[in-house]
Amino acid sequence: MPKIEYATSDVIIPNKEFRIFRLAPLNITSNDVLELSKKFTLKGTLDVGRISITENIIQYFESGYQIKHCLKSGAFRFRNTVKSKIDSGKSIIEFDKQNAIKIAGNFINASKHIPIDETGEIKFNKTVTKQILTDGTSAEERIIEVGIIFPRVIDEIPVDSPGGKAFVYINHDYEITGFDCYWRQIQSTEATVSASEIHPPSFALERLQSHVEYSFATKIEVKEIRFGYFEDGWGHTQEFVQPAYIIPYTLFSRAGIKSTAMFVISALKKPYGEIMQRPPEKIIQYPRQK
Amino acid sequence: MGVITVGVEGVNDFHNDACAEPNRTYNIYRPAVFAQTMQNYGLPVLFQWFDDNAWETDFRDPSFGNGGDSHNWSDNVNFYYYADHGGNNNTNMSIAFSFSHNQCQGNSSTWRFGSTNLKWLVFDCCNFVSGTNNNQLASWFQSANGVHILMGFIGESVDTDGYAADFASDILNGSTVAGAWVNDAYSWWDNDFPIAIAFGADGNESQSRLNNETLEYLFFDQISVGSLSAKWQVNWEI
Repeated sequence: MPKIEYATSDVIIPNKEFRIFRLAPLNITSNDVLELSKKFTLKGTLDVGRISITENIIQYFESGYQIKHCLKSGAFRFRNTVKSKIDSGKSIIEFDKQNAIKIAGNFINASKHIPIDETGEIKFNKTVTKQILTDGTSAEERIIEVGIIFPRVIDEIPVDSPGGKAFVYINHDYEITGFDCYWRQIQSTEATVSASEIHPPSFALERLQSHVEYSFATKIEVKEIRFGYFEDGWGHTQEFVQPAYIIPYTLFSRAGIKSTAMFVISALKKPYGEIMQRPPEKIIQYPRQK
Repeated sequence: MGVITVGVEGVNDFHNDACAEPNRTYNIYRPAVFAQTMQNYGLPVLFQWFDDNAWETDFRDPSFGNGGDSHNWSDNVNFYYYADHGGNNNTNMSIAFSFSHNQCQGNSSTWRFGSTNLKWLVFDCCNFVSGTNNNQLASWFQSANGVHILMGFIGESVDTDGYAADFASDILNGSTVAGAWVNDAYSWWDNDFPIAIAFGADGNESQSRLNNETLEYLFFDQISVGSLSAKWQVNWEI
């Protein structure tokens, strides 16, 4: 197994105390989802809408709107399904960034789904459409939706993970077409640790080296090691929020194919529970005959 | 909704032989979860092939010889979900197999999706397209032979347990196929940028499929392929 190629300098860990947080337990019911829908000005009643319940998700549908609530993470999504990511033929050709931030910020403030004072630097995404004909002619590439992203910051440390984000989506009319909230509620401070109780970044790199030991990569490249709080994504339960090292890495094969992955590990010398999800159980099949 | 048939394949574990590629963690989990979600809804899953049981010939159109058997596998179902490594040279996509039957790599120059039953296909792999310029998108015309919508990622995508159940749940509940993929497979944190390409006889049809096509469009087939409409979601530095 080749040694990891790591080209940049180590991340600097602030010399301060870090809190470990216990998250509030979840017990989401259909009624909670109906109540949530009312915050998006829906009627939230089965007289006009319908509920769909699966093992991990409760969804509510009403007049072209969708509320989707994950029972494991507490994350939820709101969509105007008639307008979300739909190309109406108009586009946001000259995107007014300040206006979009204002609209999204007003929505965040009014809806109170997340505390705006816990958010960091606003980021963006865009949904783009393009059309090409077989004769080679093409229509102009157009932006049909913009996402304004509010990342979470705790104790001045960024939450560097799929969770800890809220997305407000707007269309060409600056109308809100969707809202994603991956933002767990903190119940209490479980513990406080000093900087001396944090592993150095080299520890994370060593653990990554072990993690990829049995892959068949000819080269493993790490461009950065990041440090932040970790809040997992849509489909995952989580008990604690704690400081972590986050390492995006790339594996290279003999055939030149690259593949990327994220390695996340608690930065604490005494971690609280597990951060990375355990790999799924292997599915072993009998050899195929035809 | 008509009875939509489903097939899935995925490759996680390679061997130290001529087909060796870096092992993955969730390339079986995602197609298996997709199949399970569809099955829970009552849709028949006709096959699930993983690791050495996933074969290059399942993609190869018979017209390209060398055992091409796509009409019995990838093209024999209405919805096919595949997870693996992916590469792209701007003209053709390649995928990697852990077992050589009959090759270690498959290549989009030998694929003709939609020749029989296939309507929707997810390439849950890196580099479905390497970028979104006209040539890179138009490279998929060669493989579209009746398929309604192809889905994948722009450039590299991260191996996570992510979005497969979420995506299946959305399309089963009436979300548009392209919209659900572009919504659910996107990750700002991972830099996962999903793209959907819909095909039609003309621009109106491909755009309509991109905007409106749900699983209810099972029997609403194209007459010919004259246009593609694509949409994708990406991070934006402004």
